[in-house]
Amino acid sequence: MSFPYVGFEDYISFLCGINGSDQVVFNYTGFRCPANNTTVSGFDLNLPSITVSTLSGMQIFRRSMRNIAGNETYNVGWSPPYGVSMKVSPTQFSIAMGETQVLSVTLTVTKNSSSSSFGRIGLFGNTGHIVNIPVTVITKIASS
Amino acid sequence: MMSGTSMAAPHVAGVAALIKQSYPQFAPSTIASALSTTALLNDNKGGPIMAQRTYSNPDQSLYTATPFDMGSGFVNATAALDPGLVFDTSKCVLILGHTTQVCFFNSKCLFPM
Repeated sequence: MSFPYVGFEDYISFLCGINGSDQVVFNYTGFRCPANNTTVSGFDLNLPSITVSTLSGMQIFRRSMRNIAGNETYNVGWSPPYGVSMKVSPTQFSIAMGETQVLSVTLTVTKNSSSSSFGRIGLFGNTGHIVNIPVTVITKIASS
Repeated sequence: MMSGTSMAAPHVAGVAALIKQSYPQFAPSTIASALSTTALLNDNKGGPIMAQRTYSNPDQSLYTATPFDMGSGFVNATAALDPGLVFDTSKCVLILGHTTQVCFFNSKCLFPM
């Protein structure tokens, strides 16, 4: 028997992925990061949202989604945060019950700014499901 | 009308309990995913969700809410019970007898629980 699950380990890996966090993680949890090569990049923690405190140049984000409904075809739409260009792929996919689909989101700075801007990704299924993902970028630094 | 975080929290907790009842196998983050991805982006009159800028005279200081104010939006119990897609955090869990292990991208099994 197996089933997807989220837990303690994902959050520990996320915390271990923050530079210089080893000692703090150990103090609070007793878990030693270096002994376990399990760090994940903060960009890849699989939350149904994307938030970037500082976007420098370009960054790719990946999200994994599992279909718990029946077979469905989704169209993907999006609106980029101000000062950021955004590409999401795939733009359409068909997914069977229980299957997993990875969504790849590329954010590229087009305008330097230090004020928050907000965008959104919407997935629209042909049997009526709508999945919304807010996208937030605070500081934007265009690559030279 | 009563409003604010203190009113919202028990309502959302109640919806989370409904989801858990429908999908007992859901982890906390799977339930959170169902609540978030299906949330409404407009209020019940079809207008934008508003946030208050100051604690005193809140009605005089309203502005259009951003995700920093409203998160994913207003909870929608009906939609949250049928979210379609969910975002799981772990890659897999194998239950082998009495041992549970979590696997990551590289399919190494770690953290016996």
